[in-house]
Amino acid sequence: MANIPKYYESLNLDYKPPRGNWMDRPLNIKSGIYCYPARPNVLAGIQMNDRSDWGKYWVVEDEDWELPDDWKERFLNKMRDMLDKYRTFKIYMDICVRCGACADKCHYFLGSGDPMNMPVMRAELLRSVYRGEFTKTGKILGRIAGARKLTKGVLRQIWYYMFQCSECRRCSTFCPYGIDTAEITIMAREIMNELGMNIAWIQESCYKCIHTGNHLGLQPQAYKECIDCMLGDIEENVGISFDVSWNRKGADILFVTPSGDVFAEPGIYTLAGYLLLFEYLRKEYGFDYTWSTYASEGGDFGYFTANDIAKRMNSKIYLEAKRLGVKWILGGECGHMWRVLNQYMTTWHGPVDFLEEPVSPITGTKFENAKAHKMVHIMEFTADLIKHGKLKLDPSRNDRLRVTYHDSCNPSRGMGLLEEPRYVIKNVCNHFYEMPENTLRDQTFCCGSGSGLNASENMELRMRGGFPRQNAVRYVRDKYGVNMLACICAIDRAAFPDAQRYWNPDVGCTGITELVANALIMEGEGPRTNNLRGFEIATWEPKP
Amino acid sequence: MNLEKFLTKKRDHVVDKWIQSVQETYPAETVKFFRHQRNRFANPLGAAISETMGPLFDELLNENNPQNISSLLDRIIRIRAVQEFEPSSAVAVVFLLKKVIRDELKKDIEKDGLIKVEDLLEFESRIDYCALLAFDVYMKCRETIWGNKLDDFIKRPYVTGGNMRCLSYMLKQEQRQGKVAEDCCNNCGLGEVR
Ligand code: SF4
Ligand code: SF4
Repeated sequence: MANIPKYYESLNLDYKPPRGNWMDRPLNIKSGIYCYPARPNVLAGIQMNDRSDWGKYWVVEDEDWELPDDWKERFLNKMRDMLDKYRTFKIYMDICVRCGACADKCHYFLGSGDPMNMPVMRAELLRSVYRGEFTKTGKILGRIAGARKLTKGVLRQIWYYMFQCSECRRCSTFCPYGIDTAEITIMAREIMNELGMNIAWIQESCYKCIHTGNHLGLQPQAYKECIDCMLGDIEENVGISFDVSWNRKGADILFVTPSGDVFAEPGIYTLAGYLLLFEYLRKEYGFDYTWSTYASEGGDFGYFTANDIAKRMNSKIYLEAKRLGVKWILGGECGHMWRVLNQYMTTWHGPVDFLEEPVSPITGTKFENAKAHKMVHIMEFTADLIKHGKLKLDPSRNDRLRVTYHDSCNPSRGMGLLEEPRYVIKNVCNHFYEMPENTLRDQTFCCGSGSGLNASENMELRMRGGFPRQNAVRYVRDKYGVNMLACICAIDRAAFPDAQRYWNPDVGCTGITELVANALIMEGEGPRTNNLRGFEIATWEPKP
Repeated sequence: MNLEKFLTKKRDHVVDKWIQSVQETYPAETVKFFRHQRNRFANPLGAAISETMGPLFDELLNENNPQNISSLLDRIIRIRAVQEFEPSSAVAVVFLLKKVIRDELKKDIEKDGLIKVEDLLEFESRIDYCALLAFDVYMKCRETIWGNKLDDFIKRPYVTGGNMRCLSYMLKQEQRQGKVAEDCCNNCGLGEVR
């Protein structure tokens, strides 16, 4: 032996993280994971009962969060109110048996490896306070009963992790008790509003929506300009020119879509798709619809902050429908808009008796599922048109694309819209490939940026959250050469390009209506050598 | 016996230990999950670790082709670049192999007696080089992150939140240390508050 020198010793490397009870672990607030807080003046602009009344701006990484002296009472009083008001909340606080079925179902846990992102732990953050402050056993037994008092440290932890939940509800589909951790996040965020602790991305969007009609803050003239601009592009690429009507009383149908489609790429091409599809229907079948600059937002960021704000923002759509006297409302490709409509709208505003039960003016199909809220999803509408042979389509125009489909959380888990989008894609594209089953339909993975977490400063969080979905995309990319990810949500379309630049830089992102419009044969069209994005159909290589 | 043959013989053991030590850079609850969930879509992070370390070891041992090493590293470093880790611990996965070899094989190597110091040093140098490549991959990932942030900043003038409305606003915000802005330059024309 002995040709190996003595100093050939073990390396002193230890990367094992601290162990022990989770309540004792230090909280490491990391930039890139949290979103910037909302400014007090913005909060004041939404008339929220919160930080606006003591007006302090706060910085997340600072030790001092500039809380008011009575912060603890504010928090606990609000929590007590919510426990009294919402029975589900109380039940969710009481019945979790910590079976762990939900533990590994959250995309943020799968992407971060941080156990505090297990849904059960996320809920436990608030549940421990519930036990420690509201239950007898918790007050007596303390930690043995998993209880603790609310302290500033605990509050920091709750805030940090409640803004790492996209309210996607994937975890709830696995819970044997049906505990919906998304609801717990919703409650926690609303409780923290009492301390003005919501994020800029959400509150600014609400502020803009309340003041200008949409999350992007596009004023009516800007909104119209954006659409005029798309009409110009359509003229260039499709060779036909037409106009659309605005705020028109007496139109049959009001069309509402998230404002992300009006301004952000690649959503604007989905918007171009709507425009072209409706023009086709107008020419062929006399389809009669109008845009609105007042109901210029389908999404509802209020839903990510407080019940009242959500209700207020949702009401605009119906007030406008009533004012214009339309028969029913057609909705664009949006995610949470549909969850709000299907699960909350009728409780908020009662029966919508001033609108008719939606019937397709072209096929005569009655959309019975939309009986209560009177709003039809564009995918149901388009699938029905295709089923009845009402669209002239040339799917070969999409032949460069090998498409896969991402079930956006809210339409799939929130309203069960599973087959229509697939049916539409298969009719307008020749190459369609599904991702693995345990990443689809009701088990779909979130894009990683839902529930108002689609800001820029939390890019690392978004990449973590997007990883499980992108991992499945990568699989079909390698196996089938997939180069396009289709979805039906404006937040997806804003989130995926970033996620794909990071995880799958050779896969693009599209809304389904863009694919439909590219395949649609318009009467009087010019040579369709370009797609709606202005790229040559024959040579296009999609990129995120 | 030369080192390559020796390591080839011990390959599975070394790779297992390497996987284990990479897994253990995560909290205990997460490690438990890595071990019981085998589905690569339900456990993408665990799959990336267990599917990468073996081929990476083989590559180091046999071909030692920088391009292949980089693309294998990419799968694992890309994930770690957005996780809780400091940069050094994100790329430390590579050095953990050195540790495994030293801890696990030291006795065998000494017993065998036929393994040359030069061979050992040469193999460890490969690991060092691999660590440098890991640094490249890490930086590329981080640059994509910042590229995304910048891209958002440019493309989302209407949607950027209050703190990001314009650069001058952000700078002043910092100077002001927490006070609400009143004096944004408004050169960007967007206005500090609408
Ligand atoms: S699955 Fe349900 S009962 Fe089980 S730990 Fe999760 S929330 Fe609790
Ligand atoms: S709702 Fe979605 S993001 Fe929130 S804990 Fe459950 S799986 Fe995670």
